[in-house]
Amino acid sequence: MEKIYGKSALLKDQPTPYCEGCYHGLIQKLCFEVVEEMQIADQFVYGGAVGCNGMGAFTVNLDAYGTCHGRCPCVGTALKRLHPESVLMLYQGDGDAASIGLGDTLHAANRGVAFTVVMANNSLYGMTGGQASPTTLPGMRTTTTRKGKEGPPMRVAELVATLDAPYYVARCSVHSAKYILQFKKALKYALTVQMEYGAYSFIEVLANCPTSSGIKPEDSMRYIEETAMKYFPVREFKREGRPSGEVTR
Amino acid sequence: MKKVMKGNEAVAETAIRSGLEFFCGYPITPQSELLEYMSCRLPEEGKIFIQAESEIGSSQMLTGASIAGARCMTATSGPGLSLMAEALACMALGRLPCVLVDVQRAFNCITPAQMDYNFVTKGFGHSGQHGFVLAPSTVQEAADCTKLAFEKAYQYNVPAVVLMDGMIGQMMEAVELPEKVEKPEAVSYPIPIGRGSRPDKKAFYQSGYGGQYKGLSSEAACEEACNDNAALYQKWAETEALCEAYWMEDAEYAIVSYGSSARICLDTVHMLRDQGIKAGLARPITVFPFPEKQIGALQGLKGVLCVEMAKPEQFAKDVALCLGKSIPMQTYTRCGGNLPDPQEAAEIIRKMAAGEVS
Amino acid sequence: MSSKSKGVGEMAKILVDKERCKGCKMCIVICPKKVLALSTELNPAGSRYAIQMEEKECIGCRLCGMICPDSAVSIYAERGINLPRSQT
Repeated sequence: MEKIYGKSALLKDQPTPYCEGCYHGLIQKLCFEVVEEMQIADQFVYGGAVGCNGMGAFTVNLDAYGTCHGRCPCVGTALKRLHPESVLMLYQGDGDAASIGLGDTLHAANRGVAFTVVMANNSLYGMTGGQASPTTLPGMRTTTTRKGKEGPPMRVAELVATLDAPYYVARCSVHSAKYILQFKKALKYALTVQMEYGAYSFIEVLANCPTSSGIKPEDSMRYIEETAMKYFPVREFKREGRPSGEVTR
Repeated sequence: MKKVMKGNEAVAETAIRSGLEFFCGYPITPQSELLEYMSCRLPEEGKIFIQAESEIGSSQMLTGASIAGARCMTATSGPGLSLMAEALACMALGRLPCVLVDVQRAFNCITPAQMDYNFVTKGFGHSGQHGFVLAPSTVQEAADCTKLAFEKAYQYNVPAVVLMDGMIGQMMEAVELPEKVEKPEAVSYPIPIGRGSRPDKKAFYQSGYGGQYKGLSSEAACEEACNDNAALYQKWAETEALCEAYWMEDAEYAIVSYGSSARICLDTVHMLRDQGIKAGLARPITVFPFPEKQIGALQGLKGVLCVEMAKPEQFAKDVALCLGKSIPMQTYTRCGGNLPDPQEAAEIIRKMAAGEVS
Repeated sequence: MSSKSKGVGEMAKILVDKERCKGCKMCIVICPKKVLALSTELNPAGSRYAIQMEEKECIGCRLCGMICPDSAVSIYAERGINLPRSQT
C-alpha cells in the first residue's frame, strides 16, 4: 500500500498546541499543504498575529514574525516593501484583523501591499476566553454578551472588497471536502498572484472555536453550513482586481 | 560647508546621509516638515517612504522595517508618541534598532515644551525598557545627535531617540551636515525573509523578545531579556553619558538644563556674569543614560537652578537624585508652550546669591 | 476489479497518530462509510483517539485526513486503485 494522504512535511513532529477541533489547526494545516505543494517554503514568511492563531508559527519550521495585537499588516507592509522576494502570508483572527486592527487591515489593503491575508473568522476572541468580536453573530452568547449579542456582524471580506487596490478577495470555508479544496485553490491563486504581480489578496475563512463557542467539533461542520454561512456568504468578491458577481446582503 | 536649514529638515537630511533606508511617519505639528522632506528626498535615494495611517501604524511599520534589517526611522510629537508606546515597549525589550525623533510640543498646543522627558527616559510603556536618548539644543546639534543616534541604535540594537522640541524643529540656523555613509553595516540578527539556505534554523521575531531566547519558557525568556538589557544600561551609564559644561570651571552657581531651555539659559549665564555672579551651565546631552557622574561631580556650588519646560518637574528630579541634599537646588519651570524667560531665571539665582531664597 | 470483491482492509487503510489525535471526532462524523470510532484506551495526553474499526471497509476517500485539524490521519491505498492522487 502507498500513502495517499498524510501530514505535511512542513509541520513539526509534535502535537499542535491547539484544542481538539480547533479550526486554526485545520486552516493552518491546509495553508502549509499549499506552501509545500507550491514548493515555496524557502521564500515563505508566516506573518503571525496575537491570539490562538499566532501559535501556528511554532508548529512549523518556517521564517515567521509575531507582532502586537492587530498590527500584523503594518509589520508586513514594511517587511514586504524591503524584501519583495519573500512570499508573505498573514494569518490573523477576527479580533486581530477586524477589531483592534481594522484600520491597519483596510489601509494595507488600500495600499495594495504584496501579501496575502488569511483571516480565520470564528466570531470570538478564543485565546482570552471567548469574548464577543465584531463578527459575533446576533444572539450568540459569549462571555461579554451573556444575554446574546445585539447588532449585526461585520462582514470583513465585503469591506475589503469595496477598495480598488485588492486583487483577490474571497470568503472560504473548510468544513467539508468541497470547501477545503476550494480554499486550497483560493490560497494557491492568492499566493501565485502575489509572486507574479505583487498583488494583495484577502481570504476570510469561516472557523469555529469549540472551546469557547459551545459548538462541539463534531457539530461544527453542520453549524457552519446551516448557520454561519447564512451570515457570511462563501464566495469570491474580487478577482483580478474587479468585482466578481453581485454583492449580496 | 554650512547651509541655513530648518531644524526638521536638517535632521531629515542627516538621517538620509547616515544610511536611512526606510522612513514611515504621520503628520503632526511641529514635525510635519520632516515627514514632507522625507517623502521627496528618500525616493530620490531609492529608499522607502511610507505615510502610515496613524502613529500606531507608523510605529508598527518601524518594527517591521527593523525586523527586516533596514536602517529605519520615524518622527512624531507628544500625542503620537503616546500612541507609539506599545511598539516602542516591544522594540526596546526585543532589542530592535531604530531611530525615533520626538519634536516635543505642549500637549495640544503646538508651541514648544519638554513634557515627554519621563516618557522617553523612564522606560517605554509596559516593558519598562529603555532607548538611548539624546537631547540637542541647536539645529547643528540636532543634526549631530541624529547621526549619533543611528550609530548607537545599530551598535547596541536599541531604539535611539532624538528628543528635541518645536523651537529647534522650526527654527532655521546654519548647519554643517555630515558626509554621506555609503554602505552601512548589516544588522547582527537573522531576518525572516524565508528559510533560503538555512532549512533548519528559522528566523523568528516574536514581539517583545526575539528568537535569541528560543527554547526558553515565556517567563524565562522575558526575565533573561530584562537582565541583559539592565546590564547594557549600566554599561551606558559608565561609558556613554554626555554632558556639556559651560563656564563651570570657576562657577559658584550652576544652571542645570537641557535642550531649548538650556539654550535660553545661556543668556542667563551671561547676564549673571555681567553682574558679577559666577554662573555656569551644566547641560546633559544624553538624558538616558543620564550623566550621573558629571552632575554628581558638581560639588562646592552655592546653588543650582534646574530649568525645564514641564510641570510637575521631570528632569529636575533626575538632577536632584544626583546632587543629593548637598547643594541647595531651585527649579524654574514654564509649560503649556511658554518658553522660560532668561531674566526670570537670572532673578532666581540673584535671590539665591543674596540669601533671599534658601 | 470491483471493490466489492476485495476483502476487508485490502483496498485502503487509515492510520491515526494517536499522539497527535485529540479525539475531536470530526473524522468520525465526516466519514461516509462510518469506518472510524474513538478508542477505548487513552493516549499519553489522556484523551481517546480515533481508530479504524477493524471490521469496516475504507474506500480511501481521504475526507478524514483532510478534515483532521491535527494532521493525525494518514491514509494508505493499494497501488493501481483508481483513486484521485493529486491534491492540487
